[in-house]
Amino acid sequence: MIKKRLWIVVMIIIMLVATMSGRWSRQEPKNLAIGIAYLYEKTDEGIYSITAEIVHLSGTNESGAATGGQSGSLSIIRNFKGPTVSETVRDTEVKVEKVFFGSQNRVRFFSEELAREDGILDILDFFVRDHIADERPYLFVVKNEKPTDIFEADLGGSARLGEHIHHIASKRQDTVLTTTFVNTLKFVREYYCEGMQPVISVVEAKETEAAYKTPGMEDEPKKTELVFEGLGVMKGAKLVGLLSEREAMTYTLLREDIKGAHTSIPVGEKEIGVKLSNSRPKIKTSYENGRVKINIDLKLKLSVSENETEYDVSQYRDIKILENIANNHFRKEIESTIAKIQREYKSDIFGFGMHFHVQQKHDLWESIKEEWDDKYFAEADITVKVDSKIVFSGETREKFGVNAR
Amino acid sequence: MNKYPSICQNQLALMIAGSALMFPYSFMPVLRTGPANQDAWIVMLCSIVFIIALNAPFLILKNKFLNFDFVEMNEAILGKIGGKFVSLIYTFFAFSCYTACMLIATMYTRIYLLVETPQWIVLLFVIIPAMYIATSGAGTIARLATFIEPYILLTIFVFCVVGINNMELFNILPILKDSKPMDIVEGAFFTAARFSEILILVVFSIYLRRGHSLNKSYFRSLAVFGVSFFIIVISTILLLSSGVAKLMHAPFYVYSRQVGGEDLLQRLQVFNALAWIMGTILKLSIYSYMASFFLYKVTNFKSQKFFVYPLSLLAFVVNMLPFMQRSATLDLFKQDTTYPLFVLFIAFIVPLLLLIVYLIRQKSIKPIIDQRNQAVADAEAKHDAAVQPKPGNAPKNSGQNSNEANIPQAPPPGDSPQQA
Repeated sequence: MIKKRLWIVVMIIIMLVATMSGRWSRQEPKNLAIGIAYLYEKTDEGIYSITAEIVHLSGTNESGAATGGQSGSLSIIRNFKGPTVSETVRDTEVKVEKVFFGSQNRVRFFSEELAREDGILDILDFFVRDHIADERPYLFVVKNEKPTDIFEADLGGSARLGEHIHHIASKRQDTVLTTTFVNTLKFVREYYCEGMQPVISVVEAKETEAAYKTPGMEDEPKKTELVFEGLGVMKGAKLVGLLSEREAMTYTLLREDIKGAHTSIPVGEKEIGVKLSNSRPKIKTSYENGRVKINIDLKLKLSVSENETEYDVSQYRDIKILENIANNHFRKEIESTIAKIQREYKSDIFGFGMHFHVQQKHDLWESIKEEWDDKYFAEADITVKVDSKIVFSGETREKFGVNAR
Repeated sequence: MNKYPSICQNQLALMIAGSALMFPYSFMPVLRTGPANQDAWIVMLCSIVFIIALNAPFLILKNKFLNFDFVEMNEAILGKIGGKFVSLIYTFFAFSCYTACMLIATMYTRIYLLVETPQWIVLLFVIIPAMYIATSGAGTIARLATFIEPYILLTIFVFCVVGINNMELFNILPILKDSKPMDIVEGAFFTAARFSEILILVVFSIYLRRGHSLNKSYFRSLAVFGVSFFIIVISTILLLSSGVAKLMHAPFYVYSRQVGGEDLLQRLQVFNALAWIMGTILKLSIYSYMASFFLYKVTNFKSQKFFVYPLSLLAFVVNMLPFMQRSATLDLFKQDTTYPLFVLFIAFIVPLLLLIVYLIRQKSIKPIIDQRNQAVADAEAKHDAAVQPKPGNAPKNSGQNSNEANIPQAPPPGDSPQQA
């Protein structure tokens, strides 16, 4: 009996060790080039240029010699070129002495030029087909003229670019209004969704302010930092435009679940700082005389975190006034952004088509779906209603400096 | 006294459900059949009705021939030669399923898990345990099902719960707007047509313990299968969307890859892979057992175990053929035009013909059934008398509780184990 139980325990241990070691291959981790961030570009010759951030595991190669990473760096940046993505990411030029491993990849960047001109359809096929790639990494369009600048950016406390962005994206997803972080699965899901176009996150390496400069070091090259603002509007797999941070707010309010993003609302010359959370808007569609009508009903919950105005956020009368100001502010922002996207990009990133598909008759949708973005969405009459509620005034009542009654 | 395996109705139900679940667990053909859209979960629900309808002939027949094994049943209906011929067709079917499951197992292992591992190593990894289990007998397979199936069901449930945060309701919208009723019916039919596990019930029910019901086993297995299948399909569509899930070779594995925590709990798909490998090995052992059992009964050879080895070797050789190592071959099993029609022939058409012949020849077959039932009843009475505990001296392990029940062999025409 004991022998039998011992066998069972041994078998369980073997199965667990075989399957839970994290790496299901004969390659030792020290022989792996673990890529955690990849930048995809196309050269003038029409071939792919892929810059990879590879984890610098031990600082030595198999023979014990120091590898060629930046001094003291925890990652190595290498560039590869090739006719297809799968070839290029596997270093067919043989520049690295290790075997490429992609399952720890955190982020995929595309140059704006590639996303606009060629689109990313062929690269997406590689992402979902090849075992080295999967659907978890976040997707970004790089706004910089020289996209490789992002690898030079100052990452603050983070050691590696891929991990830095992954942590920002996963921790800040529902607390940022000015952008949204799109992973590969979300992108391909929206790509396949009828009546919706995908969006893509945007990143830019911008020069830092003078605060980073040390006296006497003015001639040193300026440092850059990563800025995540705005969104890329896609049509299919091609980038058709970029939204500013204020315009991106419309997308996040209508499509994302915001659980506490901080923003400010202009009140005359002053501002009121609020923490905002939303619930998915109610979207109603109708079809009259060959035109689509869309009514958006958005509800927002606001908590006051800073009050520069003279209004007393503990008084219902003042709260009502501020709520109306907030309603108008958000309504105008949303209307102007939607109008811009209708006019300039003709790409339904808000998924109004999906709601139309669900709410209207199947035959009607089938008859117009091919022209949805270019005609019906672009010409749709859209009305927006925002209902903001200031639910908390923070830890105080009256404005600071005013004598409480 | 001969030793026969004795399995309970829940074990049989788990064997059937577990074996049937391996299809949705791996390539989920329901996503590509019928309307092939977000209504796949409705297709799946409707398929349960078709499964019951398609399995009815076998279920009715088996209820008539409770004390007959599968080959004896065929011989009683069609005569010796006809019965053996039909049994050989089922041998071919069980062997085909064994080979096909092996192909699926090795393909998925090589596509998703062990990309660089040679085919023959993966094949050995699944064949050796499957052979060992099949030679250990029906009781071992049944007991193994009680360990493996709960784990598989647990992974399905846990992955569903863990993935809820990532699910999007709009992925199943609009409901029933894009699908024509006939598409739903067609999809449900072809999904049901892949369910060949009624054969497991027919073959293994001969080992059911006294007092355990064949019909309860069947309907319990269907309930477990239906609920688990529904959870798999709806979770996958809600998270991946039907458009993306359809693209994937193994949608539920890809689903499991998306769920899990950020830092502490990573790579939870390993639990899915583990369940899938164990479930596949169990399924392989069931089909290996059935193929070898049919051959053993047809040839009247001394042992079923003997056939497990050559059949496994043959399956290994077939899987090593160059065209079997191409993923396009795997796609043949996903198409509605090949595999479901084969299963339909085996699990519905042939049993229906057997049922018709039985009804025509009912008068001449009835005495054979009565004679067998009487013989079994006599043997059971004898057995009960033999194991009757003396007052104050109860046996430590009675037949009802043991895994290998000591039951006397039934008299001719067959040598099957007993059943009430």
